[in-house]
Amino acid sequence: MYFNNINEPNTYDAIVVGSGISGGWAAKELCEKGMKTLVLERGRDFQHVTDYKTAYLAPWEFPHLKRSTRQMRREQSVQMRTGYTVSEAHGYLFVKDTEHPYIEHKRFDWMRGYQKGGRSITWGKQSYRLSPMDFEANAKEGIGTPWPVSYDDIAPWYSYAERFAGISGSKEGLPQLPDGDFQPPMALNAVELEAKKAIETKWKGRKLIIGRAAHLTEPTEEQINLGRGQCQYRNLCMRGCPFGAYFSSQAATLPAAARTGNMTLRPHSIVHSIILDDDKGRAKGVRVIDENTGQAIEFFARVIFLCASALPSTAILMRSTSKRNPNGMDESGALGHYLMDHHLGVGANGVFEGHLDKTTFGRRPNGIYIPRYRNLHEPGTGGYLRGFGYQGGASRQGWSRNIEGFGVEFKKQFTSFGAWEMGMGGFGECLPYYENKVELSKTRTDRWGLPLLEFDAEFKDNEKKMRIDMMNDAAEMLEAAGMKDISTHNSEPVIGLGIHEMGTARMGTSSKNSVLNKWNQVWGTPNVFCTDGAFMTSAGCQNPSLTYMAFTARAANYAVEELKKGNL
Amino acid sequence: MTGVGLLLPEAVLARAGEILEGAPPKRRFFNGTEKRIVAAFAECVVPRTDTPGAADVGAPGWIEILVDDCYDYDDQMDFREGLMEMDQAARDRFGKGFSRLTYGQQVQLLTDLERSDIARAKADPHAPPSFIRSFKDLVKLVYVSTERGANEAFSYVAIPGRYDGAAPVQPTTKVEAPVW
Ligand SMILES: Cc1cc2nc3c(=O)[nH]c(=O)nc-3n(C[C@H](O)[C@H](O)[C@H](O)COP(=O)(O)OP(=O)(O)OC[C@H]3O[C@@H](n4cnc5c(N)ncnc54)[C@H](O)[C@@H]3O)c2cc1C
Ligand code: SF4
Repeated sequence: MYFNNINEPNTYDAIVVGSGISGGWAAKELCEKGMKTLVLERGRDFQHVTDYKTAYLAPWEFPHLKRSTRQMRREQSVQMRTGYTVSEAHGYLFVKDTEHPYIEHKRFDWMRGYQKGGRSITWGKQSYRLSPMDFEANAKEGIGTPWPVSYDDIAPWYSYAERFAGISGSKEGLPQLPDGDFQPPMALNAVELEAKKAIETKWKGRKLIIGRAAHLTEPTEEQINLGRGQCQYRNLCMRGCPFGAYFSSQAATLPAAARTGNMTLRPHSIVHSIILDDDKGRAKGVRVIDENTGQAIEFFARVIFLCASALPSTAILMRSTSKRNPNGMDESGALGHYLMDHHLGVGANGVFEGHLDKTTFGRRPNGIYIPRYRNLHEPGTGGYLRGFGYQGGASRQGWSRNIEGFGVEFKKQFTSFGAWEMGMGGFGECLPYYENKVELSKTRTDRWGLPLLEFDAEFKDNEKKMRIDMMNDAAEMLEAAGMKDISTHNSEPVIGLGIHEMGTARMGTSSKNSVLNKWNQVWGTPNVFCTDGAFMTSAGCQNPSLTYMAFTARAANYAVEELKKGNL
Repeated sequence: MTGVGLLLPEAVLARAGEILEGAPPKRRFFNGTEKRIVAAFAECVVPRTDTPGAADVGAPGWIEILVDDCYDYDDQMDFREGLMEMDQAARDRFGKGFSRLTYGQQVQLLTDLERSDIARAKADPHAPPSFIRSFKDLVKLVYVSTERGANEAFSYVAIPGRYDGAAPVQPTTKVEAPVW
């Protein structure tokens, strides 16, 4: 299908900006519908399997036994704030902060991976649907702006995304966490099963389930044809999966796009802005800066998908100015505002005294999930709106536990099993606040001349109040499960650290209250779609990427239909 | 069981600087005294038994590399100071530097120092971890991360292929070495 005269240089049917979770999906859908698609990715090329150079290394094969060096920490001073991503094994999949600085009026932890595949390589794969309750909450409570999309609108696209991506999980029939089209669930272990029984007996309405995760437990024919295999329980996923067993752009969407013959992927291509045609109220194409040469290049297409992840896409919209859009592509004043994330770093741990004759074999790249149970029926009980879910798990203590003493006695304990322990940490919903914002710096630019992003955002009272319950409930549930030595934690929550940044170009019901309409189209420029986390009107407390997949697929299919009808 | 009792400090020293196959090149971050204390201390944490000890797995060399390349400068200073304080404690109590004590004296000294650290930590829960605690943690981490430590004293399974959430623990079942 050629909507454009492809004999024109640099001209395609569609342009997709970014090749992470959202961009991979846009590329797949557009290419499969016959669109000649150019994927512009700012990072380097990064091949499935052959570029996973650390995937099979044992700890002793790393120069520093996998630890981060002082130099890595200097170059990745922000990326290392997670405490687990910057290591010799996979630190290189996160940006160097020395090359990609930004400005923090308040602390904001911005975790980025700039390579083909984006953060689809390093993500945690937890995959949950938002529920009808989540899509209705803003309207019901008068918070932010109402979602223009209902659960029923998106449900078929969730199914579509789940079937292709491959999500393992159990069906539970919970209204607050709808079931999906799942592959067989992974197993709970002996102590998690104890906790499940105890918690579900004591509290009607609370459930402990296995995490729903984008790992293949029973690959479909379609997945096998893409070269994907079953999960091998190594839990070294962040280095890239040589079996293609978890969902990544590399393993799933990009090969599906490539096999159509319709995809061109250009790495080292930093999209600067969208080229606007004010008279027609349309976009013509995009301006790109070549990462290596600094050269400016223009590419043209009928339709443009922004999938650079929430904040870079927001920045592109801000940099896309014209006479009609002097402040970037937004008439509502919402662009850059309502920045959200999930707040975490709160929960409890305990020790379980039984089951000493059992341990786990294999490393399950997944844990338990306790779906939200607070405020399901009455908003605002407990003094806060919305709620939280828990992730965690039980395992047998081993070498790393604290043991007193020295010599042979110490070594004997060091090399033998400790008790079982179990922990759970909350993921809480954050409300959309106008004051939580990101802007383009007026004074400082990066090495490509792009204005730095300035962050001014924080978690507020609603989140902080919720955290008291998040901490105490966790301890109560562990206690009910028979745990001893329970300890609780509730660190000062830092926005960004949930790595679910979203909401800065939200969807809404009109161009007065939002940047995007219900099809993820920019109000006023209908051939530009934005389908990454920027569109989120509220956050839910579920890990969001599955929602980006579903909305991206829905928007891409809509775009092609509209093009065919001559409406775009 | 094994010849731990026979393991004289000299024997530890002899192996301390040994470069095992696959182990990284020698460093000059520590001076001779520091190297000897590190080697002796590491062996007190994980002695050779029927499985390798700290020196067997090249732990002293790895410790030097990690402290040299991975520690922040402040932590390097604290580390050196910690070694010197231990050496001084050995002199105060036994009239000899730490590495020249018998293995039994070393273990006794460390056990006593650790006990008083623990008492101090109880009194002030916010105090930073003592040198002895952080050194032990480092030895543990290094030991389980080495090929022999992971495979001989622990079990290292590169590709488990399945998950069993209630696998039986038999007397021969080894604790898993970390891969992550
Ligand atoms: C350690 C970790 C664990 C996580 N765990 C989970 C989880 O369990 N569940 C979950 O749902 N989510 C999780 N996430 C979040 C998840 O990774 C993101 O939500 C998801 O990757 C977002 O997809 P995206 O396509 O919008 O952005 P990305 O995957 O970040 O991809 C964006 C791409 O755009 C490129 N790009 C950026 N700017 C430009 C530009 N100007 N021009 C061209 N290209 C550009 C980038 O290089 C990148 O390749 C986790 C993230 C991390 C880091
Ligand atoms: S645990 Fe599964 S998904 Fe992760 S790297 Fe191993 S095989 Fe791949």
